[in-house]
Order: sequence, then structure tokens, then C-alpha cells
Amino acid sequence: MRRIDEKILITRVMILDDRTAFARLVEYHQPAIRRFFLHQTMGDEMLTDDLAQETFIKLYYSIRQYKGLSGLATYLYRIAFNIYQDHLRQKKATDAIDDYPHPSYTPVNDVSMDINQALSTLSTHERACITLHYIDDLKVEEIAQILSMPQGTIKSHLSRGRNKMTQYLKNNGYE
Amino acid sequence: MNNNTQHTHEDILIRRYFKEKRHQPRENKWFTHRVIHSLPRQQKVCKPASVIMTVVTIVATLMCCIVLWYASHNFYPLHENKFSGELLCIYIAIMSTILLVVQQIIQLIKTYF
Repeated sequence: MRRIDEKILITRVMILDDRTAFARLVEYHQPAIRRFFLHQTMGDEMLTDDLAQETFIKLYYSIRQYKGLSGLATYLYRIAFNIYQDHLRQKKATDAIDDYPHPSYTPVNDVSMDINQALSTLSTHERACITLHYIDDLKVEEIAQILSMPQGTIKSHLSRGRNKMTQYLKNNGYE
Repeated sequence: MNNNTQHTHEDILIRRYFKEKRHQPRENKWFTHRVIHSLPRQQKVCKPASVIMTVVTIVATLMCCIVLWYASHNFYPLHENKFSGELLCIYIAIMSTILLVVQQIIQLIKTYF
């Protein structure tokens, strides 16, 4: 989708409450947001879909606050990360014993199990930084905007996450 | 330099790993449908403020038309600058129209910012 088309759709949603335009925005951005949640929840598809749905509903309510300074994708990732953090807080409150994240699903195959194990070695922030940087190819500045953190902190998270990932990969024979 | 080389090597390793193993969300054709149906019902715009504004706009427009029609049929020498009911009507109509336009502009600015 061209940036100008996206702006037109956003304006239509803002002014006319155009649901068709909003549906087009959802359709375009949902794979990236669902993939983001899939990595944060380590493959829990049902939870991923619920959190992604919540993200788009929150986008609908807050779209008038979107000033277009960053791309809509960055804005959406920011909402998504906040929703994920809220989810973790709720989970922690209701389930103090269970040390989240533990996927509550049956892994589809060894490959997904393998990546989930790798991701589970990282903290929430490290996982978000690593997946946004290496899977979604976002720059440090963009990740800093999404996570509302200084760039230096993002670099630290990336560095620690990178070390943990490298260690995990070496221990499992990936070289 | 050596540190950078190691850094790049780690980057390549992790990137390659994620390229091979990353999750891809399954196609969910109902997702968008579900999101749209979770949104609040689209309101038929009938807020009291907008109804009042519409009525005032219509009244002001009618007033303008009547005054203009009256002025065109009973030409009044405005340059004499005498106070009269007709002149007052013209002033009221013009002021109402200006206020309405300003109000609409403010509403538009509020929508964007």
C-alpha cells in the first residue's frame, strides 16, 4: 500500500468513520501485527489473534490522536507492545505462581518448538527488540519509538538479546 | 574492528536462523471481519449539538436569502450610513454566517489535531 493511499484511508476513518477504509487498513497490517504477537507469545495462536484484535480496536478508538509523525505500522506496533505489557501485568496478577511466558498450546512441530525455546531465553523487552530488529527489519530509532525507550537502552537490549541468542544457537549446533 | 567482525557474524547467524525458523501467522480470513464486528455501531449522526447547528445554519441561510431578496427589491443607500431595521438585519445575517463558518473551521481543526 502506498503511503498516500494509507493517509487517505486514515483520513476517511477519522472524518467519516468509514468502516470499509478501516477494514482495508486492518487487512493490510494484520499479518505483521499477528506475527509480532506470535513471537511475543511464543506461538500461542489463539492469544495472538485476541491481542491483535484488541490492538486494532484500540487503533480505531485512538486514530484521531495519530498525527502521522511516524508510519501507521510503527504506531500499531506501539499499541501492540502496550497491549502485550498490559496482558503480562494481568497474567502476573492472576497467576503469580506461573512464571510467564509459558505457551499454553501444543506445538505444531519441532521447528516452532525450537524457535520458541530460543525466544524463551530472552526477557520481554529483549524479545521485542530482537524480533522487531531481526524479523521485521526495523531500525533502532523505530524500535525506540515503539517501546518508548531511549535508543541507548534499545541497543543494550539488542546486545544482551543477541548474546543470549548466539549462545543458544551455538549450544544447539547452529553455526 | 575484531569486535565488529564478531558482531556482524552474530548478526548474520541470528538473521539466518530467524529467516529459517520464524513464525508465519496462519491465514485467517475471518480476522478483519471479526475486528470490524467488534467495533461500536456506526452512529447515525444525531447528536443534539449537530442538530442545533444544522437548524441555526438553515435559519441563518434563510435570513441571508430574505435580506438579500429584500435589499435587491428595495435598494437601500448604504453609503448614507443611517441606522435602520434593514441594515441591522443585514449585519445580523452577515455576522451569523461568519460565526458559523468560524465554528465549522474550529470543528475541522479539532478533528485533525
